[in-house]
Amino acid sequence: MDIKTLKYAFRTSMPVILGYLPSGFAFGLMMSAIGKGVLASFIMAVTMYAGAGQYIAVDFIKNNATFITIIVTTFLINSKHLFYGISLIEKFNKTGRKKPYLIFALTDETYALLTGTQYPDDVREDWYIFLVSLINQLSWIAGCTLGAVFGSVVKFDTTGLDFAMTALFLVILTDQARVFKSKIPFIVGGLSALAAMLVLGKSNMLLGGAALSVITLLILHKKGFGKNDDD
Amino acid sequence: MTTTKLCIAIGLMAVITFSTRLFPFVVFGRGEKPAPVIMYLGKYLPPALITAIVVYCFKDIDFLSGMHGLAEIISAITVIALHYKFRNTMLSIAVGTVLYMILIRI
Repeated sequence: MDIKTLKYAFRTSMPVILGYLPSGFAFGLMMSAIGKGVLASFIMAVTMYAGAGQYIAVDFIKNNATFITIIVTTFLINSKHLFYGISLIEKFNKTGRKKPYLIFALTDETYALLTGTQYPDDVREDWYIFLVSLINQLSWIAGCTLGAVFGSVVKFDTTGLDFAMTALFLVILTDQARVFKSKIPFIVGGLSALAAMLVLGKSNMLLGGAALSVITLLILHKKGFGKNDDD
Repeated sequence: MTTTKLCIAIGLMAVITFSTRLFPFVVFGRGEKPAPVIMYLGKYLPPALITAIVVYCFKDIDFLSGMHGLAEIISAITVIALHYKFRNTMLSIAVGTVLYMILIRI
C-alpha cells in the first residue's frame, strides 16, 4: 500500500462517507431510543454492515420478533445481493487474501463505487478496492456508534424518530419506481402485505407478505410476466 | 427482546447478510449463468418486498382516532416529493423524520 492509493481511495469514498455518517447516526439514535446500548449498535455495524437490514433489525428488537421472521426477512431484504457480485468476480479474484473481506463489505454504495469509478493506472488495484471498502465501513461504524453515544448522553423525547426507517424505505421505493416501467411488482408487494396483515395479523405480516410476494411473482411469471425486457 | 436472544439474532442476521453477498462468488465464480427464474426473482422481488415493507411501516396508523394518520401521510408525501425532486437520500429522510416528529406534537 502507498500513500497515493490511500489518497485516491479516500477521494472516491468521500460521497459515501458523507452518506454513511448521518444514516449510521440515525440508526444509533433509533437503537438508543429502544433502550439498546452503544455496544449493540457497534457490533451490528461491524458484523452486519447493512443499511436496510440494520434499520429493520431495530424494529425486530423493539417488537421481539420471532427467529423465523428475523431469518426470512433478513434473507429476502438482502436477496438483491444474490447477484450483485457477478460483475465483480473477475476483479475480486485478483485480490488474494483481501477477497473475503471485500465480499463481506459489498454494500449497495461500495458496489456502485467499485463498478462506476475510474482511477489512475499507477494506483494498485487490489489495495484501492480494499481501502475503498474499508473506509466505507469505518464511516458506517463511526456513524452508528456516534449516534448511539449521542442518544445515550443527550436525553430528548425520541417519539417519532422511528419514522426514519419508514423514510428510508420510501426513498428506496421512489428510486425503484423510477427504474421499473411495470407497476406490477409494487402492486404485488403492497397487496401481499395487506392480505398478510388481514389474515395473519400485524406480527406476522412481514413474513407472510414476503412469502406471498414470492409465490405471486412466480405465478405471474408462469403466465408470461417478466419474460421480455419491457416489463 | 432478551440479551441472549439479541446476541443470537445479531449473529443470525450477520451470517445471512454475508451469505447473500457470498452467493454469486461461490455459484457463478466459474462463469455459469444463473437460471432464468432466479434472474427474474432477482429483478422483480426487491421492488415487491420494499413495497411490502412500506405497508408494514404504516401498520400502526390509527385512521379512526387521533390524527387519523395525517402526520404519517403528510410526512410520507414529503419524503417522496423531496426524493423525486432532489434524489438526496439524507435530505429526504432527515426532513421527513423531523417533520413527522413535529406533526405528532401539535
